Parts: sequence; structure tokens; C-alpha cells
Amino acid sequence: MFQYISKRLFQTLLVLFGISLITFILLQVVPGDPVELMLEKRADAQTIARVRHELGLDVSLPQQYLNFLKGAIHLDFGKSYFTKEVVITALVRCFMVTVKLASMSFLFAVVLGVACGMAAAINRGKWIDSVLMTISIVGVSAPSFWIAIILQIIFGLKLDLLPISGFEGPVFFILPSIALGTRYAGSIARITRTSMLDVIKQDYIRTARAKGVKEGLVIMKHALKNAMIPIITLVGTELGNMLTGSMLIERVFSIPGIGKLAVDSMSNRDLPLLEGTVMYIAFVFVIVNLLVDISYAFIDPRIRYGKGAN
Amino acid sequence: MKKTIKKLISLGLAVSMAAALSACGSSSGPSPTTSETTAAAGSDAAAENTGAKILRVAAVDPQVAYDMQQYTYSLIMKVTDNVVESLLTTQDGGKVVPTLLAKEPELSDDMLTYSFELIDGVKFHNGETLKSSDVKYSLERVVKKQSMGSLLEKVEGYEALADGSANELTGIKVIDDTHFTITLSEVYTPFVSVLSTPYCGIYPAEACEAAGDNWGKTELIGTGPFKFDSYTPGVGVEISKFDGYYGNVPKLDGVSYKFIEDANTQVLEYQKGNIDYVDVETNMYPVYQADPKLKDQMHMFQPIGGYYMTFNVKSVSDPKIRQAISMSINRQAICESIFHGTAKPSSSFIPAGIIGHDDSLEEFAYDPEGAKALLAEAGYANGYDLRLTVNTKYATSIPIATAFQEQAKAAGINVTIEQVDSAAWSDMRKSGGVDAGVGNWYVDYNDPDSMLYPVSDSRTDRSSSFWHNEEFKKLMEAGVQTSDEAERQEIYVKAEHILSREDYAIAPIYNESKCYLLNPKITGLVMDSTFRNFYANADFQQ
Repeated sequence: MFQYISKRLFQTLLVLFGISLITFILLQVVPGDPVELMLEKRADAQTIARVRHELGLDVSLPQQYLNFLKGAIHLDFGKSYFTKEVVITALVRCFMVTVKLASMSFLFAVVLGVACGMAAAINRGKWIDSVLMTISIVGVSAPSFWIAIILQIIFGLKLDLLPISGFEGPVFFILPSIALGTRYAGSIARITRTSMLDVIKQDYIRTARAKGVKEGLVIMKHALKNAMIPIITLVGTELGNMLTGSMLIERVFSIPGIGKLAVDSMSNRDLPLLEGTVMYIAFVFVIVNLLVDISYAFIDPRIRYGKGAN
Repeated sequence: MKKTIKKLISLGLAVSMAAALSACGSSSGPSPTTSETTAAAGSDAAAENTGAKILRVAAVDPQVAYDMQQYTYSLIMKVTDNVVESLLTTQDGGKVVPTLLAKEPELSDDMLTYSFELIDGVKFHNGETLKSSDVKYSLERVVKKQSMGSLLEKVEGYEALADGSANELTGIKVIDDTHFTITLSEVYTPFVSVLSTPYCGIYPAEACEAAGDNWGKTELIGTGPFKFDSYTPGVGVEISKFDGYYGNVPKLDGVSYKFIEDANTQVLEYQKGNIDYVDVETNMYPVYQADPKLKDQMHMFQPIGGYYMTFNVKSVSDPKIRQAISMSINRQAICESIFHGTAKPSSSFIPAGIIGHDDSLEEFAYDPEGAKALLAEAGYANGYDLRLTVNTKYATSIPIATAFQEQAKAAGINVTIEQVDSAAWSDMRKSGGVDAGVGNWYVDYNDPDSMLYPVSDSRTDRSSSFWHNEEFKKLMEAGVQTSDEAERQEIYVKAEHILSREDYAIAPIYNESKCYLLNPKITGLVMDSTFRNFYANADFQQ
């Protein structure tokens, strides 16, 4: 297992290197000069050339990339061209906000999604199943910003129960978490139902019931545990999505998280900040996927990694 | 081994969960200040509970330092206009009045040297006294910071400081602590207007130098009626009354700028009573106008500037084609359908409110048949293909382009719309890649020379226009050589005619009004036509 994890971590480094190179190349291809943007209004050609020199943008592209790599090894992505904030500081600042939103949305989505999926599977074909699956379709289909606005108007303005925007305390995260988590809850509910229905048909469930095991135990211990692999796979990807921020939700609720940072850095062609943000996003996805893979071995003892693996 | 790993992972998960929950439970953000508490409490409750008069303004985080010498966003001016002052101020109507000066600057007979006298004993927020050396430092900093440096290009020594071969503006001479002179390299009559811009705000030299990159973030010191207390990224800005202000001390105790990115959320917060001032997007104007409660709380101001269509005279080379395109724009329809009556069709590029605006000009007529005839004369009897580029940063550019696309069909012009983001837009303009575009411009200072800056001879090669006209160039040069208003009016009327009715280098489209919602209890708040916000005389009515 250790060997497997080491190998995956090594692969992670290769992936991060590849992504950084692709990002760098793409940014050179996409039209838009950050210095032109910074000095848009009145600067002349000479001034622009001087600022390009100050930012190290007048050296050759391979040299620029090497300079970036040298810094990145020490987690030094430089300073934002625009805000002058150290990139790693900006990432940590936004991550601290995003992680709160992601944690609450994740809990909301998993608890609600799995519960609804199980309830629908157990009551297959009954009205509960139809109602829950209809709601889950709405959850999956409705745009999160629309849900956000509806929640703001009802719970923030009309009923005056919760704050409309901001991120000063846990209560501020309730509406954004619901708005962000609804879509994920919907898809988790659907995959849970499908996966549970597959498992419930299996012989070992029939056997467990025949042995007189209580129905609750059959569902929780035998059915749900065996239905977890597809759910964990989906949940892992969704956790990755949540941890890398949601630009729309962050914008509507005025939450300065990773999503907004990524979009702003792209629209400003803020190379250091964008490279840093992309590295962070890639790192989150690679690590989350690794954790998901590792978790398979614990959920299903038949899955083995490393020596002796099939 | 398996059990060990299982335990380690369980421990890891438990720690992550605990961290996540503690992160949810305890905010790592700043503890609420008085004004933040106020903001959460609602306007009436705020004033009653704390006794403090805090104006709460919805704002957007500019994510850069609050330093107008470096960043030119109007988002920044909302704050800095109340903290930092320039030597003079332009009042609505264009009159320039002394702010930090004891009297109006005196101009030498050769019209090149201005003599200034500072008001004695004006204090910065850090307790230091304003000196002539601070003025010299601040104006030199404008040039060194590059962004708006060219505003001072007429000051003697500008070139050397701008290219780094000198370290000072030789044209600024400090005589003593309250007296100094500024000498220009050539006559430039709008120079005092330039000094009234926020970009020429006066900072205390030592404190600004010591703060370095933190200037405008953790520290911003001026002589204004409010002092800068804090800027918290993503949260907001707090400014409070400066008791040592040399003028009338403000009636408000402070202003709390709350960062809310989304325009709809800003209005919801306003409706809930958490915000006193919010800008309103024009497309929402009819919605709020129909709301009986909000209707009377909506106000407008008209910025000096407007939207127009730009032409690359290399690719759209025949003035007849450009005239035909101008005649194919139904400006009235655009103003009514997109701006719901909050905008007026332009009759000129130089808008009302500044010298050079010609009241006698009629609106540009929508005449697709006339346009068709002109295109036929230019050799395009079978239609003309036009690529129109719009910068998505300015959301209204897109519906304008879409409306024009439909309107131009009647004249036989086939418009292809190309939407690009700001970065690509800058790049394309620089490289001459925009054939026709939807642009906007607002004056930096209340003068036609500022309005005509984007079409001036030195700029058009950098904006994908490439338009050069000797007579226009000479008129622009003559316009800044005289201070006689009647003469200037005549000069700029001629320049306008060449620009928009003879060469059709651009096609003005409309001049809009900006809307905002204001708590009816607030009086004395000033929004001026150059996007400046002054809260010094604002107050809460009891």
C-alpha cells in the first residue's frame, strides 16, 4: 500500500508539472497582455516596455517558465501582478473561506443525498420514490445561482431568518451551502438509489434477510456498505469540485473564495496568480482521487493495491 | 499493516472533520468593528444603538491598493475621494476651485509657470503638516507609478523622469513649506483641471515612502475629511471622521464600504436595510422604478462621456462607409429598448457639460436608405460585411452590438459580432485587430482635451483606429494654448465636426445616466459627473 501511495504521489508531481506547462503555454497563446491591462488607460509604449521588464516578461518564454518552476518548487509562485499580494498568501486566504463553504455543502449534500437515495431505493416504485426522485431531478437541473437567489429572497429578505450575503460566521454559510450542495445532493441521491437497487437484488442480501437479520441492519451494514463504491467515486469528485470553489455561488453570496480568485486571475491574465490557482486546483483533484482510490480498499476488501494486487 | 493504515486514515479523517467543523464554527475573519456591527443591525437600529452615524455603501472589492496614482477604477475613487485631496477640486459645471490652496494659482505672463500657495497648517491624518515638498513628492510619484503619469507630460522634466534618467520633475520648484511653482514645457491651459483629478492627490512623502507596497492597503493617509481605518480583502473598507480636518468636520462618524460582488445581492441588502447606498444597473431600472417603495429612493447622475463606435480607418477606409455605418445605428431605439429611457442619443462626441459641446447639432439620424446609397457610392451596392468587436467587460456593449446588427441589415450591412474579454480587447486594439468596436470614454478632468484624448493623434495608433487628420491635430494643439473660453468653444466645435461629421472617425451612440438607490434619511451626498463621490456634507436626517 505504501508503495502504491508513493507511486501515486510521484505521479502527482508529474501531473502538476504537465498542468503547469500546459497552463503556461495556453496563456501565451490566448490573446491578452497583462501589462497592457494594468496600464490600460494612458500609458505609452515606453512605459509598457519598462513594466514588462520589471515583471520579467521580457525574457524568453522558456526562461520565464524555468523561473516559474524554480519558485514553484519552494511553493513560491511570486506576487500577483495586480494586487501585489504573495500568491501563496492569497491562496491560503481564499482556501480558508472555500473550505468552510465546501465542508458545509459537502455535509449537506452527502447526508441529504445518501438518505434520500436510500429511502427511494427501499421504497422502490412507491410514491416516496417518485417524489424523492422528482426532487432530485429538480436539484440536479436547477442552476445553482437561481436556487441562490430564491433562497436569498425567501430566507434572507422576506422571512428575515438568515443573512443575504457575507461570510462572517457559520450562519452566513447556511444559504450558500444549500445553494451549492443541492445539485450534488440530487446526483448523490440518484446514484445511491441505483447502486442500492443493484445490491438489494444480490443473493447475500436475501441470505441476510433469511437469517433473520433486522431490516435496518441489512440495509445499513450489508446493502449500503456494498453500494458505496460508486457513491464514494461520485462524492470524491464532488468534494474536489467544492474545494476548488464555485464562482457563481461565491459571487452571489459575496464569498471571496478560490473560485473568484481563479476567474479574476484569468480575466486579468495574472500569470503568477493563475499558475498558483491552477496548481492548487490540480493538487486538490489529484489528492482527492488518491484518497478515493485508497478508500476503495477499506470498503471492499477484494480490492488490493501494491504487491499481490490483481 | 492494514489495521495500522486503517487507523491512520481514520485518524486523518477525524482530524480533517474536526478542522472543517472548527473552521465552520469559528470565523477566521476579523472581529466585527463598530461599523460592521452597525452594518449588520440595519440603518435605524444602528444609529439608535451606537449613536454613531455610519453611512453603509455597497461596493466591490477592487482587489488592488486604494491608490489612485496606480489604479484608476471608479471603485477606488468611492473611498479615496473622501480620504485624499488634490490641490484643487472641479465642481459640477466645470469650475475649478482651490482645496488645499490659500488662493487660486497665479499664471506667469508666458503662461508657462504656475505659482501656488498652500493653506498654512493643513494636517495629514498622521498629524504631519502639509508641505510643498509633499506636493512635489506626490506629483512625481504619479509619473513614477506610470499608470496616469502622462497627465503631467506637459510639466518640465517629465520625459526624463518617465524614462528613468532623472529622479525628479525639474519643473516643480519648492520655494518654502507653503509656496511652490510648476513650470510647463509648453502652454497647456487645462493644467489646473489636471491638478484637480484624484490621480494628483497629495500624500505625505515620508509616510507614503515608508509604507511601500502597503500604501493603499494597510495605510492610506491624506488630508481629507475622513481617515482610512482598514481594508479587509473580500470584506470591506472602513473610514472614519477626521477630527483634525482643516475644513468643516463631516457630520457622519464614518463610512463603511461593504464588499458585495453581485449587483442583485447589493439591492437585496439595501432592501433589507443593511446598506444605505447602492449603484443600480440600468437593465434593472424599470424593475425598481415599478416598485412603489424603491421608486422614490432612486437617483441619477450623468457622467461626462459616453458610448461610441470606433473604426479602424485602415480596414474601414472610406469615410462614406463609416458615415453609412453611423447612419445605420438607430440610437433612439437603443436608448429606449436597452436603457429604458435612462440614456440619450448622442449628437456629438464631446458631451454636454464641457467646453466644445455644440448645442446646435441635431441628433444623428437613422437613415438606412441613405446609408445604402452611400455604400453604393463607395462600391458596396450589394452589401457590406462588418466585423464588430465588443469587450465583454462592459455588459451593455453586447446588447448594443446585437441591436445594431439587426438595425444595420436594413442598410445592407452584414454585421458579425465578436465578443472578447478585456485582456484580448487590449491586445487586439494594440495590434490593430479591431475593425469596428463598441467603446466608451469618460473624462478624467472636465475639459474637451480629456474627452478627445482617445482620438488624439498620439493615441489612435494604439487603439486600432489609425485615424490621423492634420487639421484636427492642429485644432487640438490650439485648444490647449488658449484660455479664452469662447475661442476654445469655437476650436472644439470645429474639431468635433471633423471627427464625427466629416471624417466619421467614430460614431457617437449615446450618453447614459447612472442610477443609484439612496436611503431617504441621507442628505448631502454628492455624486459628480466625473464619477467622484463626496460624503463630507452627508448626514442622516432625524
